[in-house]
Amino acid sequence: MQKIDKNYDQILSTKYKAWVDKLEKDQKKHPESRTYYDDVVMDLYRCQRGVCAYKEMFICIENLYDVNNWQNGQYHIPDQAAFKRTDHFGELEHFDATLKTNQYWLWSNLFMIHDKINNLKSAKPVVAYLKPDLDDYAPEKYFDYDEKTHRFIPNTDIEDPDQIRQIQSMIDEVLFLNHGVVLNERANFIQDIKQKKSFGTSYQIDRFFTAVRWCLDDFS
Amino acid sequence: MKISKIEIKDFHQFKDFTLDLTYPEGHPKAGKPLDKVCFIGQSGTGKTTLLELIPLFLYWYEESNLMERIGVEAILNKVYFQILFGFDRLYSLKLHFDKDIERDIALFWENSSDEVYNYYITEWQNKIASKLIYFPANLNFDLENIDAENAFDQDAIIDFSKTKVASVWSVILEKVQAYQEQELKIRQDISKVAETSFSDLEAIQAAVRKLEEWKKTEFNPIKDVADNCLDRLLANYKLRVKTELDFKTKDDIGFIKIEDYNQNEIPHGLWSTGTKQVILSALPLYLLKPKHTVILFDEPERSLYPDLQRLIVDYYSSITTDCQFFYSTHSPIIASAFEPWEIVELKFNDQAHIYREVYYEGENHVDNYKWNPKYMRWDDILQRVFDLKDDGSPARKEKLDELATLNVKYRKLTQKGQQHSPEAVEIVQKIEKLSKALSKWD
Repeated sequence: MQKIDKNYDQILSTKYKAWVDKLEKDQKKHPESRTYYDDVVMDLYRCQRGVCAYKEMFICIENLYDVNNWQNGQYHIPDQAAFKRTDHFGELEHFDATLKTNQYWLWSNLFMIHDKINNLKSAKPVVAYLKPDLDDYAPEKYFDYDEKTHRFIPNTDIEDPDQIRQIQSMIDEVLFLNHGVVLNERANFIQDIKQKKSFGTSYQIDRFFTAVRWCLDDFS
Repeated sequence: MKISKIEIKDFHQFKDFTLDLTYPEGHPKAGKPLDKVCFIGQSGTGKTTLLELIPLFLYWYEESNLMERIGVEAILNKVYFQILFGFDRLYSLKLHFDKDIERDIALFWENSSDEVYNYYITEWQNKIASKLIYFPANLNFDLENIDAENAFDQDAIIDFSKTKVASVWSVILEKVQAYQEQELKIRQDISKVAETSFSDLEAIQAAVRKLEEWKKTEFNPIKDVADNCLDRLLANYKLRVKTELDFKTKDDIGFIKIEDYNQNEIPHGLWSTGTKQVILSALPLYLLKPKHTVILFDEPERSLYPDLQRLIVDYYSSITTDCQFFYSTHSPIIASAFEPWEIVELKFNDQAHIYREVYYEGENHVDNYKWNPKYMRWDDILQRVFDLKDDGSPARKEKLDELATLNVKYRKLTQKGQQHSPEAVEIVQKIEKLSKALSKWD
């Protein structure tokens, strides 16, 4: 649940941006056309650094969202590239599902999330204050991470029992932050990084940014 | 004869569904049909439907529960099976049902000549391959009234949802009875010698030696079943096949008898369901000795203790010749006997249609598979393959959350230099208690 910088004015898919801006200005319903699908998806991956917006699992290779894949404001990868546009396993998430009907391509409402978890999540909405690109969103305000069990929990400083229950329900039933597979992969990744750090060997943090940051801060 | 591909255009929950059942690139058998396939998926995803379609296509068998319900008409031009058969040279047939010019339902084949199809029907099915065998989820456990007559001769396939499994005993019943008759005769001879020459110890010993010699050289069908098939499985229950029979007539044999290690016979009525399951699924394969055919198992894990579930898939393969097995299971232990390309995980998509979840990324190559059930822990299989969310019960999940919360609270107190405060001490005590209960010290 990292904070995601999705600055609309700085996206690379400017042709898509112009197209959506015009639709919005004209107050038109967004068409079902998938003309700008790759533009949106890859720009989102660029903002999310190739991980699921919620679980921070690695879901897209870096080559796919390299800035060089955009030319003249449009996403394109050559046919002879060693990777394909489908070399990722994320799905487009409409944060506020009610906007899907008329504003399907609205940038601020879109994220890329893990396809398997998207299936589990189905139509269950994420509570508004956990939207990862909000100006005042910070994961540490709402979550804590226990390095021993590798579980996310509601921040123990929160006193409102309703909010604790709400965040716990988000963790378990909507975001699936402690889903067995996610938890095991996260635990393995963190242990691996810590081991490399202790051996003084090089390592790359390319997923689970939030949990890794919190665990490494405590690492002595 | 093996199935290499199943295509379903539109039937029940399947739509534009294709199953490639061949080994992936990079495998020594790349492109050849899989030797075994494991269907997994939620109830309702069509595992049993796929199993029951197989006999229809291979043997035009319409008596399965599915076909009795829907009839062949429901799949005309909607389902296609591709099969490969042959020895040095493999022949291929793509089969589907349709109506012929006289409006009768007929089986059509593509990609092959009439000669190949005729060879398949007349030679391969009738002379070379054994009959297809189907083990349903709920085997008929009735062990009584077994006839010496072979019940399987008349049927298109061996369907144990229709036929009593114990009737497979008829395959060797005559041999067993002949063996017992001969043994009875030799024992009677010993009695006669003892009666007529009761003081002639040498004559009695010679008669007994004759029995022992005979036992050494004569093929004993029950001992064969015990040594080569059942005893290694029954050992899990501390049981074995009873090979020394205290019958009075040859008809006493009925069905196989088992005993505990103290030679106490276990009457059929007292066999556990697990014992019945293991005997009634292994024995048919051992006695029928199937070859070059297809064998279907629906939920083979039923009533089997995990220890036995670990063994059966490889064991069944080992007692057959060149057969293709199809399993449908809910057991992670059964699933762990399969390579990842042998697992067909069926899932519903957003339109409630079935798709196959694949375990590889990019090209279908052995190196691109993300995980291999053979190397995974059972709980990992449950989570990755069966998509189970947690690694234990809801109560365990609650306690893990509680433990995580206590750990974080303690960490925060430590950061404030309050690790010796009464609150911190109380938290530590709770953490220790919970950790023990959760076996969390791993």
